[in-house]
Amino acid sequence: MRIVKDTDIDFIGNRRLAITISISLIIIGLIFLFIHKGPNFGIDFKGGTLMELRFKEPVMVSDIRASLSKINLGDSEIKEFGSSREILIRTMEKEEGTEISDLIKETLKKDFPDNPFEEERLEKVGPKIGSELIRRAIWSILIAMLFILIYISWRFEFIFAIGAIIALFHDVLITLGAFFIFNKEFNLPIVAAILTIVGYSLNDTIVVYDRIRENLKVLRKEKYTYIINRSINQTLSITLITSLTTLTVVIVLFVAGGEVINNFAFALLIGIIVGTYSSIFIASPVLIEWQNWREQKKKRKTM
Amino acid sequence: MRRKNTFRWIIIFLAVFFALYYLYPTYKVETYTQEDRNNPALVGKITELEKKAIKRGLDLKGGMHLVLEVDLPKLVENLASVKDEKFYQLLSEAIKVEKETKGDFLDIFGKLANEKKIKLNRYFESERRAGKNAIDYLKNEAKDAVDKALQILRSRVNQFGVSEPSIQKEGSRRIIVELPGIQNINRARELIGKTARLEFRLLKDPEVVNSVIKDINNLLKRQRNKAKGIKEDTTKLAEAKIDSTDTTKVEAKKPSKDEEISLAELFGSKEALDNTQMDTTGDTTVVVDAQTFGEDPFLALLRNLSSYGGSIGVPEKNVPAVKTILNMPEVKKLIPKDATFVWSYAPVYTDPSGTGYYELLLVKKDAELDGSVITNAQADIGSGYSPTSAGMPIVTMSMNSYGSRIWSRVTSANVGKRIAILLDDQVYSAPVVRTRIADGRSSIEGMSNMDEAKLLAIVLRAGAFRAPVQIIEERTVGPSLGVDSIKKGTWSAIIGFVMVIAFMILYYRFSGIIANVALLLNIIFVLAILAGFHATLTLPGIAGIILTIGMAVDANVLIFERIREELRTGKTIRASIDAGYSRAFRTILDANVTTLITAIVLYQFGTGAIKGFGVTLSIGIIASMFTAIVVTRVIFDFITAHFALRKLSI
Repeated sequence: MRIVKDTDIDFIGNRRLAITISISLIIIGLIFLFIHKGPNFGIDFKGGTLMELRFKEPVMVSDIRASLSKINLGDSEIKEFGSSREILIRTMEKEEGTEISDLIKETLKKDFPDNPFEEERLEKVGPKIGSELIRRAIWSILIAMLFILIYISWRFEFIFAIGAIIALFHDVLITLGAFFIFNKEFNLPIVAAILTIVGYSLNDTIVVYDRIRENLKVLRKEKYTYIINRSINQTLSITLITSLTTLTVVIVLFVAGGEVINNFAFALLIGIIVGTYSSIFIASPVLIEWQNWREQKKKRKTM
Repeated sequence: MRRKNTFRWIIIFLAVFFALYYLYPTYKVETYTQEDRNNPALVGKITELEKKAIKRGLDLKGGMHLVLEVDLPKLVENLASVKDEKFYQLLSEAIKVEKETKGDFLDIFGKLANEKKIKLNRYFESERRAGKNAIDYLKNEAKDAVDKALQILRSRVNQFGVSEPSIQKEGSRRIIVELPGIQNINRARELIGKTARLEFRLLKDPEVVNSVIKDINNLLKRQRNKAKGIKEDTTKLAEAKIDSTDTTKVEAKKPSKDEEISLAELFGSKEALDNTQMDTTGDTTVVVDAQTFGEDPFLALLRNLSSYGGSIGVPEKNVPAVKTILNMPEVKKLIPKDATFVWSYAPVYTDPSGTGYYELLLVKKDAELDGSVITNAQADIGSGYSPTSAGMPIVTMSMNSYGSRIWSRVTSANVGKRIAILLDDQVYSAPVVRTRIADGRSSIEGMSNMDEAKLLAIVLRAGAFRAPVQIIEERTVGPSLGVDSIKKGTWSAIIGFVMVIAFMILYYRFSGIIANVALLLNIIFVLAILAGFHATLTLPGIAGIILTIGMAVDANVLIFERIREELRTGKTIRASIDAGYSRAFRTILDANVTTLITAIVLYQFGTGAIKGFGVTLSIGIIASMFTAIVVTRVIFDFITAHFALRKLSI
């Protein structure tokens, strides 16, 4: 069986369109970031308290909210989590060591005497550790990219590494954009997901690059643009199938992995799709643009 | 060629053998039912096996994860031998700068002192003797404080009896405590977070207390009137004493005189309240004596607990307000330099309507004796001697000879007076000294139950932290959530595995089956390596394994697609397989190295559960290189060598 037969699609010719789409997506993400007034940081980054309570009987979120409105929680989020018996409460920590969780539990015990609850999860993160984590997260993503830049420069050429890094930024920005658009919560596992995307979305790019490297030797007489377009077409089935198998398990995780894993799987889902797209439409065109720029420079010199 | 493959077969069989060997304990542990676990004959065996099995992270097993940080500003304050206005100013400024810049507190402290040309050596006597730079000295002390805290925490947790706890230092300042299967969160928090600084301090004389209270009352009245815009009438300032009518009220339960007012009313206006920067979360009313409130705003918040030795009681509701008032800078100035207000740990009295009263005491700043002299502490039931502790849980303590000597001297010099016994600045009991105590015995009371007394005895035996620790992160997962996570994770893995396997067979036919064998081996290897290194499996870790299922076949896809291409050019089956593997190898290597780079960075960055994801992902990638390249290759070679294939099913 073959999904992709021998193709001869002009990917390079359509690169301007692809770049326009990508930039638009990034801009849309930024617009939503602006609309939602910044990223929706979870307690891992912002500090605060998160509680997951499992009640014996189903409860209404509005009842919980009414009960807790008495204690002035401030900026808080109360929602169903998985089922109508499970409630998730997220509040901001006022300062280091404030025992908001005890206050919440006492209040709910008083207001729901016939519906006892169990504390499934309680997470408290001080604001200090939170802001520290944001810094560390950004640093680790940049460090990972730096090492990748070095590795690809060593194995290929420097310009290939630049192409790969541009594709990576593209993938990360669009994945982040998806989070901005749906106003999904950013927490530690999302950083893990983004780092995974950084590593994995490169796989496809490397497959294409590897073929380009090979074809540059075999098809020496052909034009640069042709070689690149040919390489993309030749590796198209590999690119699609490898992404497909990984996407399959990520979709399973997204659907069946449970609430905790859900956002994490969502990030991977977007990241893998975008990563596949960028290895075809972003990473390779960079090489062309570079080549064009160099030729023009040479021409100008000889003139 | 053949010899090379014999070698490969041996490697593969050895790998499978060891994998199954390391996985056996995990498999065995999983097969035990809850009944088996309660069976005393099996418990020992199960514990033994669990030591060799894959460890479950707290998010799967349930338990508590705490990150502690030593309170450095407090440590610096404790270490200073001279403390003046300038010192406190420097300290609070350094705290502010640290919050903004997230730098190292001690470096900031030193830099600020330099900028302000403050000689730090002046404040740290003991340091001057050692001839070291003040900041170096403080850094050394900070390190010691963390190490000591680590040691104390180990002792506390061991005495408390938690199975398989983990207490580790992280960086230079932090300590990570993991307590699996803990049930009572609040108790665990107390066990870990209590500084356990025990102090014996003399109370100030009642006349001094009365005059301080009176001063505060008059100050507050002036301020309130100012806030309300009422012109000050100095002649009417009360010559106040705590009104004895209050006493009758508490005892004769006439709550009708009490009324609830808002905090804004107490301070005169909303703005005045905001100025106090009081935390207004929760109930924001106070209860005051309506008869005296107009004249005496501060006194109206207090009650006289004559039944408790003529001491000051504060109704529960008023505690935050009184604390706020006592914290106001202008009020602080009215408190004698050598004294400080402290609170009882729990309500000392509960009136018939259910309102609890905390006791407010004015004690000397310098302690007569501290917890370092304590040699033992035991939870006990109070005997009939003391009316307040008879039949109640208490903790009895014995002191070393040095402590006993001082205790004997202090008690004999203060017969008839009260001595407060404080733990972490809270008064547990403040008995009246009846006679000289020569044997170094003392006891504290005020605990509400025996468990609490036992916990207190543990922390007193383990000793006190050099400086308080703050719990800066706390994550607790209930046991049922962990079981739920495992169930969902396992199902996702099975579904994902089946889907990938089905796809590979559908798409690559017989070759797909070979790839699936490799995939299955890959999962076995990943689990075996986790078990072999006794690594911890977390929920993100499970996600990492599931992700590996999807990624592991990538290498085979690369190889197979390449073989197909080679076949299309008309090469023989053998030659196509050879070319496919050799050409794809470089690509597979490059692609996996980049993923591995990020997995390793992830491990470095990660905390707790995220580390688990980095681990499983890294192991998965490395194992997949072996299974997808080596294992499938020998199978292909075996088939092409033993069967005369006319067509390769790929």
